[in-house]
Amino acid sequence: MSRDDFYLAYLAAVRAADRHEAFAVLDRARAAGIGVSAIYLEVLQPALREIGRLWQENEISVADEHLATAISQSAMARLYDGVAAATGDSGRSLIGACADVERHEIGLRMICDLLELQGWTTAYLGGSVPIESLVSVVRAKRPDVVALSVALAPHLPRLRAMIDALRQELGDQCPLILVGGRPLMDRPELAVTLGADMTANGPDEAIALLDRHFEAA
Amino acid sequence: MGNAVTGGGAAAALLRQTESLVRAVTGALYDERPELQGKYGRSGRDKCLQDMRHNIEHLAAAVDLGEPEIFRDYTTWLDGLLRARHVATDDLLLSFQLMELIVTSSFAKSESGPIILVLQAGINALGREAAP
Repeated sequence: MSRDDFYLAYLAAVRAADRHEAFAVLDRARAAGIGVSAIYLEVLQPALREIGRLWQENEISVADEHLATAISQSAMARLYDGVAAATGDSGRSLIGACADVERHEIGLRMICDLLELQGWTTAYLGGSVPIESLVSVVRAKRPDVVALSVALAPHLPRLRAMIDALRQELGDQCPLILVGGRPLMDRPELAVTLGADMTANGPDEAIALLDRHFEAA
Repeated sequence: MGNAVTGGGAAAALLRQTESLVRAVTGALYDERPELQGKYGRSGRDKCLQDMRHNIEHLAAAVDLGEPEIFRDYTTWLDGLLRARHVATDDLLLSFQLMELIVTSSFAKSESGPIILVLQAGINALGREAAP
């Protein structure tokens, strides 16, 4: 089976809300020698994008979409558990948080896992983090990167407030700020309005940008 | 700050008045198009109120950041979503036009200016869609 076949089989399983079959498809992909990052980027991510499109086209319900997301989150935890022990130490670190209150966090979680597989240390704070807590965690941990995601445009002002607070409180010590999420995929130039250093239209691009940035540094 | 482009105050006013604006626009829409009651059924009006809240939240974010394009993107996305659920572009467009009238008459000019500017980005996006 090719990666595309695994993608189609996984999509069919999550559309049928069949968690066991979804896990079995990914086990078969692993057994066929496909790495965790390829499964994230070439099976899970395209399947979730397709699920989002099907919801938009009214072909599946909100509940179907939530189920597919929940299955994929467990699938990621399961895949990641199998390889986590193998990671080294690159000396780089990232703290991630969502500006939203929603559960649209898979992209950011993927970035954290994929960087961990490259030896980074990452911490994911989830959604609804109070701005002052974010600032104090970043001040204490001094990560190389703060990655902030926003799924829905109404939370963009809050994202800007998070970035303003980080810059104001940390000044020269402020880490590199990466932002992403649906509104920025439509319009990457918003990153400038928000005060971020960079934006990516998906986990793969985020990883590539960070690799390039720290190689050059 | 005078007429400088600072959307923060206008966005805050919009969010403060969300509920009254949602009700006023939905009421005006159903007054203007009584047939919507039959077209979208009983739950249609509740969905309309809910959608109107989302519209205002997106509008407020775009006003706050001074980025009309955010609202244009949202409008185009929403129109596709609604058309897949058999809601006509014309009905969405009318709701935006009614919102424009109500905002103009019920907000201070310093607030309505930046709001209308952003709302028009959405109206223009729909105008292009609705054109033959």
